[in-house]
Amino acid sequence: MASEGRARVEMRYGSNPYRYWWTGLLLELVTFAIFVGAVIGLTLLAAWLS
Amino acid sequence: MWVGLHRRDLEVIAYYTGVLVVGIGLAMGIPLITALAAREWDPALDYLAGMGVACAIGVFMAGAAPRGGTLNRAQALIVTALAWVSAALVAAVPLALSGHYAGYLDALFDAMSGLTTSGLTLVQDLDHMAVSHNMWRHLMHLIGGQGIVVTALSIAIGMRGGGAISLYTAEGRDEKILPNVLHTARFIWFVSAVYVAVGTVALTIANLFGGLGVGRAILHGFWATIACYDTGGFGPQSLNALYYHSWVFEAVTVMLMLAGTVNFNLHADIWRGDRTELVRNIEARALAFNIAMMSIAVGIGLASVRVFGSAGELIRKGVYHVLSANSGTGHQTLYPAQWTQDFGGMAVAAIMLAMAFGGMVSSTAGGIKALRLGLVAKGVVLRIRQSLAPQSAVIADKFHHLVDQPLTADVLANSLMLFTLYMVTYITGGMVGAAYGYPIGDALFESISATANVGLSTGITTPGMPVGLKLMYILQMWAGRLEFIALLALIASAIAGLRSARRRRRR
Repeated sequence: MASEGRARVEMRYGSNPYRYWWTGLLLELVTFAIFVGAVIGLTLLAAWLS
Repeated sequence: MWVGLHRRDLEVIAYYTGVLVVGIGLAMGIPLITALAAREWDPALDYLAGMGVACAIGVFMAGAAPRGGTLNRAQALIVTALAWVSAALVAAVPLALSGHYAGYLDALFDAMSGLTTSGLTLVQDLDHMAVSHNMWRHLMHLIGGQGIVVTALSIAIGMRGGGAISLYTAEGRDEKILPNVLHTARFIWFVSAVYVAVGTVALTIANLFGGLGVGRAILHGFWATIACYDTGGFGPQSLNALYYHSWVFEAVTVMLMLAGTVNFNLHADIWRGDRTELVRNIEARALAFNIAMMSIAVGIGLASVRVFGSAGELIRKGVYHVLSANSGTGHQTLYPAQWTQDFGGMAVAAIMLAMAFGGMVSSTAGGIKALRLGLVAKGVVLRIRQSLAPQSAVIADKFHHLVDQPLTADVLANSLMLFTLYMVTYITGGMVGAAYGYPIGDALFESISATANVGLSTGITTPGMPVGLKLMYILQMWAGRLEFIALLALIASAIAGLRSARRRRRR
């Protein structure tokens, strides 16, 4: 099933080095989560220091 | 010399605008089906009437020219400007018939706000609105957020002619992700469909835990996902995001807002395996820096007024609104009056700057955009370096946006021009609001929110606001979404046409 999905994505959007098409989605979500965590940390630090 | 439009130009413009209006009429089929499924017979009639009006006007306009005429750049700019206002004019019909608006102008305001993904609203008694009307309000976010032209291209209604690329770029999406413009439009929908599906499931679960029934949990989850991913800001309840009182709901919507503010080209690069683009791209860096700075400012500002004491409150009221403002979403977990009463000067100023700066280009976000801010900042540094270097030295710079590009005078001039146009519009709208008697701070906040298609409100936007201000905000939402050029091209063409008609009469 996964290989079929990957083949469909490759056919439509070009070669994809990921094993699963949703790896890109997961990568984005993890990056956003780390970013939001960093922003929350910065805000709390700024509030605490002031 | 100004080039006026000829009869053939007008026929082609009428044809394509008509096709897009028919597309809006067909899209009303979704709320119509919703109304029938929910046994809402009066709203069903509203959508039948809306579809009738849209299809009649669209078919009449499309009949003006032979099918398949190709579009040049000037025609495409005017079609795009007209398509957005025509779409809003017909999309407002079922809303005006719903009984939830004081009149057609208020419904038009909401239609323009919905399609431009602004989120400001003049609706009355929202908490008792029919499901189908709420479906249409949120569907407008989806249609407008993806881009009316992208929507039409992706289902390719009458758009297989050579004008597709001209229309696509005229809508502010100036980069091709894939070699074929139709594939590009469909890829945008593919990414969006995945996010909407994931977001709806996550928010439905959050709503079920929050105590909503199954049907409402799914519908509210779907609508909130669209409103956040397309950076719109409408909600099915008058309290907006505050209605849910759920940190899980807020956490999921924050992720969706961030996804919505990311450039579709960046989505494409990441989804196709380029992991480094997200950290190398000047636009991603500029947006991350901007959000971080505004969050720090809000943190300091809120700490100084001491209204939100705990760390949890500081995050849920501070960081949430920075992300909502910067992404152009406009979901808020505050009562409008709290902006001036509880937030304090520094935090409100930071939120205003976050709204003004906006998200990334080629996304559903509004505002000046991070790419332009990054380029302007790089231009300032370049000018300082040039000033300090010997006269004979040649100092140049480059930037990375999908590919490495030289920082030319043309690129800088374009960024600065749009920066200036946005700033002038923000301030002009603020002055108009102040002229109607609103405090200048509130008026500027609302003006930025309308122009940058955000939707946060200090409470000025109500059904009782002056008609002139409603018209001003409609114009600002329209101009901001189109990034001015298409609208200015429409105005210039109209003036050139009037002048040439007057010259012909004199002869």
